[in-house]
Amino acid sequence: MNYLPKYISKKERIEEIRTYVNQGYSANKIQKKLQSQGLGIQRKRLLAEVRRIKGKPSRTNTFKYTPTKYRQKRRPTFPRRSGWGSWGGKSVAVYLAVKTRRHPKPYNARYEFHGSGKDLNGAIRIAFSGIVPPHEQPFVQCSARNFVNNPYLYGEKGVWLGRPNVES
Amino acid sequence: MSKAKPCLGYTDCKTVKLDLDNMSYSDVQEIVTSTMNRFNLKGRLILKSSKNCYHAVFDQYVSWAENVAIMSWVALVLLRKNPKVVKWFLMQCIKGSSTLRVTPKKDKPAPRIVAKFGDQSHAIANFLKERERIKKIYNQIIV
Repeated sequence: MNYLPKYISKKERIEEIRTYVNQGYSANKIQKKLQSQGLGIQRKRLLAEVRRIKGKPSRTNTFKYTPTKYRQKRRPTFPRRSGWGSWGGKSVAVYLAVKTRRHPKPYNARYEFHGSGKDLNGAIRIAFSGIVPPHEQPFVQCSARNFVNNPYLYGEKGVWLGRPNVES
Repeated sequence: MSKAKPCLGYTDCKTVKLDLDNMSYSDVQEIVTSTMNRFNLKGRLILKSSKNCYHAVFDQYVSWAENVAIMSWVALVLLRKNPKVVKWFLMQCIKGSSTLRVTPKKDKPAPRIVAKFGDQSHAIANFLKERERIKKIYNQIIV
């Protein structure tokens, strides 16, 4: 008796999926059909394959399609710097030691905003009001307009401390 | 509003800026003059940030690579025994751009201009313009 699993080529599986898609089956139905033949596939991959066969664009906005009750469980993600010297122009640095509720131990943090005077004014005002860079990303370089539009993407609530231990 | 106010500084890559701490004005003048002559930086501006602490800005625009070369020459060749300047230089290299403070910082006042020499029409003029803009924003927020 052969205990080894049956070798299934990728082409064979795709052909099967294509026939079911052409027949108008739903993803769940296709999965059941495939499983009955020993061709089961991860649902995420199956959906991607179905979309590719139907010629529809892949869904990039995963957050939008995540049910609301699961959205809150996601860890906060902060934008990363795109690279060294990513912003070559002039900008305004806002910096000092900070502490937040999540990180009560003071750490050095810095914003570098670039943009027009109006946007800079708004961004600095918001930063002064108690939005500080998160501990995970203490050096944030961003456009002042983006910061004004969505400050919590680039920081969290915290306190700027008077401890002058940050080099300018 | 939180009690302490963060510092505001002017940041860019193309202007040569130096933060010279723990040295007298005569030493600062000597260092700034030798740097300007060696790298042909056309003009210089010296600001006093606090006692024995000075900032220097040069008029010639340079690339970030040249800027790092100039800063490293000052910090690691001329002032290698001054840990504050070396630390400042390393911090700028990590950040990828150089920054000088514009607003007051706890017990230190805002840096004020003490000397000007040579051409002032390019990088220095831009620095002064941005400095005024930042000061204006800061004053609006504080008041």
